[in-house]
Amino acid sequence: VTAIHETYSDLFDDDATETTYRVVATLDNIYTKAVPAPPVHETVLAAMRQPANAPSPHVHRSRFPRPLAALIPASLLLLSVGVAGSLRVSAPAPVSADVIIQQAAAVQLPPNSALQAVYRGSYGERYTIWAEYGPRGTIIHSATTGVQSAQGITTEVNRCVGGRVKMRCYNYEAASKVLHQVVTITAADVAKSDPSFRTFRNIDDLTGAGVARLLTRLMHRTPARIHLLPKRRLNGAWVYPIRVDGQPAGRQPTTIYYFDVHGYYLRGMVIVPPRGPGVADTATEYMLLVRRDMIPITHVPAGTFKLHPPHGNQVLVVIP
Amino acid sequence: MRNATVTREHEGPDDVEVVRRAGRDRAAFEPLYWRYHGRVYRYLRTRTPQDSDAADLTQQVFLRALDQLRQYDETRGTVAAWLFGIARHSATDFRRKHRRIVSAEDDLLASLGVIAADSPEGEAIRRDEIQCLYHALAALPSEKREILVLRFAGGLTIAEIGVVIGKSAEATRKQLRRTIQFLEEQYRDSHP
Repeated sequence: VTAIHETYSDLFDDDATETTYRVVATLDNIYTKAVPAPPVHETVLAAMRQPANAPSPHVHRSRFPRPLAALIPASLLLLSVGVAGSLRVSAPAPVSADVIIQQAAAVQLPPNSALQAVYRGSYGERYTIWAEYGPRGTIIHSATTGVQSAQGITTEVNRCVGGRVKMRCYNYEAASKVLHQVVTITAADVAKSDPSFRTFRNIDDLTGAGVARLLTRLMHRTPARIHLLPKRRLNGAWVYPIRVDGQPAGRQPTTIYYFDVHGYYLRGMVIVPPRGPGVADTATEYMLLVRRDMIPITHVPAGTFKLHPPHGNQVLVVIP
Repeated sequence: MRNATVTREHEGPDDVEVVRRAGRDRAAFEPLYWRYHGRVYRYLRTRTPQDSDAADLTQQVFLRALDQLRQYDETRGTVAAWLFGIARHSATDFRRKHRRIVSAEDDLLASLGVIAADSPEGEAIRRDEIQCLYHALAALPSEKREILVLRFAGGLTIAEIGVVIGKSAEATRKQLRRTIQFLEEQYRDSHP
């Protein structure tokens, strides 16, 4: 008697055969084993803490139009890896968010090197990020590719390539073979689309020290929004979590950045939607580092920084 | 083993007691959320084209349940059946609203394709077995497929499925058994 027999004992009568077992086991595989874990709904948990007569929060599907939504995390993460340096710090363990942010902002990447990082998103998507650093250690080429797959077949691709200021991007829906081509995208576009990132005025704000510089500015402007949480493990690695409260609090998402305790690069980020009655809501979203490698520029595969849009029924989308 | 109960994956106070407590204090509802949100999500994932749709609907189901705690009547079925009844209504609403992007029959198979991807157990079961069942499932009427989904993805007992779809337990049991037999025949035909 196997676990399948025990779980589905009501389906195995006296006439059950090996074929019955194969069918039931396969159905179990299709319907349960392979389903990814569902996200935890902070809104539901928050609603439980409300008085019984409190109005229910509204449920909205997404903060962004879909193609742009898919592009934004990749773009931000590309910029975020600006803090992904090679610095090893021998100083005592930081005791405040300020110290960690300073360390991250001070990280210098080796000149004439390239970074490849792979992140996994909350919906199973994978983002592969390439960044090439010039003689001064600043990004001169970048490429981010987000891929959503099903059964080994690509269903959607989001790709951006560019330099310091602008990136060209496309969104390709493989099933319908529709290509949404975005001519250019900048951090200003991102800021228009997502109020929680309004502090990004242009891409220069984010290159180099990336998120750390952003956090430095926030720290000076509104220090009460930034908090160091207890050191913890993230995917087996120790990280310093820095929480940035949304503004206004309770109306905008809270973002938590996880900085590696040794290299001070970004190991992940989580966007927690606001809680409470009457607040527009989405599920918690996250991006986690899967792998990260620094390599010589000469080892970067040819064509890495070319857009290479697939052929399709092109639909031009220009972000205003 | 014919009438053995379905394995349950929870501990703690029973569901009815949790709903009673939650009627006085909504925070008491939390065990039910943790107990069922994975099963509700799995069910809804087979009725929607994307993970994010299923996640949104799952959230909606539990918020509705919180609002409708006083409407639960234990004489009409278990808490699980009540929750999946709400989930079924939510899925139906979703499909009605998204008719243009969710085609009538193809979305389920598309969903199955998504679900089967990256399965850690995927290598254990031969790919052609899964493909064979895909084709057989596609040939099933939607009401039969839904019974399978409620049994496998939702983990409901036959009696609970009967409550959700509005049929007697005996009729549900017969239909489920016939469906499994049909799938067995398809399997034998493709694996002589």
